[in-house]
Order: sequence, then C-alpha cells, then structure tokens
Amino acid sequence: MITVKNCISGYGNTEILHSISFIVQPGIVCGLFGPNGSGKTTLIKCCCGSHPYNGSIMIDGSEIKELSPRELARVVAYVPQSHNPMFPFSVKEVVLMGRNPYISPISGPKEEDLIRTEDILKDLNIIDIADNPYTELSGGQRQLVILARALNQDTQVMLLDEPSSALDFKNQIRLWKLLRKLARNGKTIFACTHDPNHISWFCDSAVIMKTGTILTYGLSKETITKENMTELYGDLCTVEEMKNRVVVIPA
Amino acid sequence: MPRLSVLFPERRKKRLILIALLILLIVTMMVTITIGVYPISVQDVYLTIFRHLGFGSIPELTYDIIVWEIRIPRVILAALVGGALAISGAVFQGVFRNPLVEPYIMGVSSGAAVGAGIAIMFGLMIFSLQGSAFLFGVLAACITYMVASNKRETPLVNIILAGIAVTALFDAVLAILKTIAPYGKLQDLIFWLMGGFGGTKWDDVSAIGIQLLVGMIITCFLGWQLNLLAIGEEDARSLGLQVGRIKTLLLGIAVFLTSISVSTVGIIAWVGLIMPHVSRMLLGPDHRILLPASVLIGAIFLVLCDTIARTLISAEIPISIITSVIGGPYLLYLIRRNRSLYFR
Repeated sequence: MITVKNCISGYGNTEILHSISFIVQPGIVCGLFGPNGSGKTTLIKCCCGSHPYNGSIMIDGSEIKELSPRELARVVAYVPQSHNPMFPFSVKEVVLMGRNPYISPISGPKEEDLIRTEDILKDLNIIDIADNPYTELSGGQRQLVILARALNQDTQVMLLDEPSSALDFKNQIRLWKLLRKLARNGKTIFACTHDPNHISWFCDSAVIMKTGTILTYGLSKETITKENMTELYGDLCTVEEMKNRVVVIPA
Repeated sequence: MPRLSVLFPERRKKRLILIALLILLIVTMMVTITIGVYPISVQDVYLTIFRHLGFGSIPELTYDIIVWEIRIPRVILAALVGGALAISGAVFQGVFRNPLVEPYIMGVSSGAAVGAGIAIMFGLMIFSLQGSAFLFGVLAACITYMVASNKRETPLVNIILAGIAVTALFDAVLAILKTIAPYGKLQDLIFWLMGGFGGTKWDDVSAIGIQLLVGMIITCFLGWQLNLLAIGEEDARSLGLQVGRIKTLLLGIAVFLTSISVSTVGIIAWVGLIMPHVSRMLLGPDHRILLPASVLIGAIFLVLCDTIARTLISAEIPISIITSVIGGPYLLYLIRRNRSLYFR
C-alpha cells in the first residue's frame, strides 16, 4: 500500500509536484496517468526514494525518506525505463543484482540468492537467454530482465516508469498481463503510462495527474471518463464503451 | 540435500583462470629476473636468490648486487605498479560506465605529477612526495568530474574533453615548475620526470609496496558494488547501494593508487586503459573477477614492458614509449571496432 500525503517536490526553485495526496490499495495494478510534463516521472522517483520531497510518502507503513537505501530496496522495487548499458553483463548477472539488499557487500551472493534468481528466470520464461549479454537483447527482452531484477528484490510494492513505452504491441500486452498476474499474487504495482487505454484495459485503478496536481484517483472506470479526458486534452479525443470496456479514441 | 544452483557453472572456471594468471605472473617474474644487459647464467641467478633465502653457497658479489639489489626490486615494483594502474583503470571505467576513461585520461596522472614536482621543488616536509601527489591527483580528478558532469551524469565525450583540458593545464604547471626551478632542484626534477623503474631499490618497494597492495586488495573486495554502479547510478540506488559513499571510496582508492605510482615511477600511459579491456574480453564484465584479473594482467604486462625497456638496447628506453607503442594502436583498434557504440 502506498500512501502519499501533501507531497511537494521539484528541481531547484521549480516546484513540479504541488502538494499531492492519494492512496494506492495493496494487491492491485494502479496506473499513473497524465500528459507529458505533468510530473509522473518526478512522482515515481519520489516514491522510490531517488528524489527528495517534502510531505509524506508511506509504503507499507514506512516513511520512505527515513529508510536507508538498503532498507528501502527491501520495501519497494523500481523498474526504470530500459536503457543502453555499457558493459555486456549477462542476463543472469543483471537479475542476480536484484538480490543486493539481502547480500553481504563483501562476500557477495550466496547459494540461496542464486536459486531465487534461477526460479525467477524460469517464472518469466527467460531462462533460455540467461547467458546472453544484456546489451544484445531486444527491447521487450530487456524490459523483462529489468522486471525480473525488480522481482528478485522480493518487495511488496513495485514502481514502474513507462514500462511499455519501448515495446511493440504484442510485448505491451504480455507485459501488462504479467503485471496483472503479479498483482493477483499479492504485489502492489504502480506504473506510469501515457496511454489512457492501457489504464482502462489493464489497470484496476488509476491516479490521474495534471500539471503537478492530482486530477482524480480511484477505479479505472471512474477515472477514464469523458469529463476527465476533456479536462486533460480538450476536444482532441472522446471516450466510448466497447464490449464492456472504455476506449479513448481521437475525436 | 539442499538444492544447488546450476546458474553459474563458469565461476569455477574463471577462478581457475585467475589462479593460472597468478602462476603466469610468478613465472614471468622468475624468467625476467634472469634477463638483463649484464650476462648472468640462469643458474647463477637462482643460486643468488637461494643464498638470500638462507641456503646454498655465497655468490659472486657482482651477481649478488645485480640480481638481488637491482633486478629483483625492479621487477617486483613493475608488477605492483602495473597491477595498481590496471585496477585503477578498471575502477574508473566501471564507475563512469565509460570504457574510454582511466586516471591518465582524466588528468589524474598529470595532477599527481605536478604534486610530486612541487614536493621536489620546494621540499615541503609536511607533504611527502606521495602525499602531495595524491592531493593534486584528487584535485585533478575533482576538476575533471565537476566540469564534465551534467545533471548527475558524466557523458563519455564530456569526460574525455574535460580530461584533455585538465591534463593540458597540469602539464603547463609542470613546465612552469621546470622553467623556474633553481639549478640543483632542476636536476632532481628532471631526473624524477624521466620516470621508469631504473634505479629501483628495496627501499622503494617497501615504501610503496604495502600501500599499493592494500589498496588493490580492498578494491578487489568492492567488485560486487562496482557491478551495481556499472549498471547505472539510479539503478544501483534503487537496488539499495549507498551510491555516493561507494563511488567516493572506489575513486579515492583508484586516485590514491595512481598517484602513489606516479610519484614513484612517473607517468606511465595506457596500462590503465587497456588492461581492463583485455581482462574484460578474457573473463567478462563481472568486476568480482575483472578487478583481480586486471591486477594480474597489468602486472604481467608492465613486467614485460619494463624488461624490454631495460634490455632492448644497451641504454634504457623510457617505459612509456614501450607502453605507447603497444597501447596507441590498440586504442585505435578499439575505437574503430566500437565506433557505433562510442559516438552515437
């Protein structure tokens, strides 16, 4: 469970997040949605402790700015947008790094960590590419590897920054289905996206941002509405219902 | 019986390669001790060594001096400095996620040389030669880092450009020192600037050997953390690493190792850049293996280069010429091969 109360943050003198408050319930997929520049990435970074903030962000009952990096990494896992790494670490080496919060810095990973890594590689069906260099993977595979690394942190809450933006259609659907499966198994998934249809198709609930404030939050159906889309995009798009699902289409 | 992971079967093999490299280093040192301008038979070389280990007959005095007082300390120092420069390069490349950096390229070597030069010129008692070199090495690293970094990141090109500028700056300071040095000091300074391992004594080995060895061993234990840093600072932080602390510790030790080496043998280019690459090609990017491998391969490389430097012609060739003859073409090859990666 994520509880954000009066959170203020920014860069230098520019305030990006203006006193934000919302709650993400445990065991669900919650989407963080808003146009470019609305502060999604800043909010995600505040929630994973990599950006300073005023106010309160509680994850599973702990105020995250009071945790050490190691404690924090056992509470919340962060999946960054996929990037190009410089060194050709193998897939299994990258996934093993997720065990870092439990590993003694001097002696390195233990047998138990290797076994957990092996299991996660099998679960996500990437055991076949375990020996491949991470640098030579496709975008979809790379995203899965980073997700596996985050799973290896064994946290209750996972934060994802634009997890599907670099993926093709097939991989987008696969990824969101995987996230839903994880939520059913008890994880809390908080993922930002700039596609409103991903919210209505794949997320249980949503937090919608507009220029550093929360426009609304709640169940997906209640947040992706004609009024809210008009508020964000003017008359650019319209909302219709198809086969019991809400679809946002260009007007 | 508890289940065992089958995920990393190659780690055993890699450890064996490390042991093989260690044996290769020892063999290289044993062989190069027998080579020199002054002809001494292999048998006499080892008789001399055995004598110092406490058994055998007393060797001829000339042999004793050449083998025990000249060749052996020199080979040991070359191995230590080679290892130190190579591991420093590996640390810089990992921390900055930039396969083209090393302390020399970031201006640390030139900074350390200025520090050592100032200590020689002004004979500052508070700053020993090494202390002063370290101080200026840190200064150079800080300037390059601050100039090159942009929004917590240090893009590849920025680091190299800043490094060129900082190196030029400190080289100019060194040139000024030479110009204004009084006659007696100038001699000391020039002699020191020539660098190399010529005239190494046991005192030199004992003075810096322990420091280099301790620095290298501590660094080898930080391999796991360096792996995380090498993936990216933001990632490392989210995985629970104290990024600032570990980064400062690693870079501090690397600058220390480089400065101590420079203050003793002068600037030796290329070892720090190339040896980590060779190790990475041989054993992969895992720093838990890569760091000790760099030490061993760097040590072997510099012992061989120094042997060429002292035996190829009757006069001594500056060792940087040897390392550059090998290093320059290799860098060209590296850039050519990876140009799409470096310049996108």
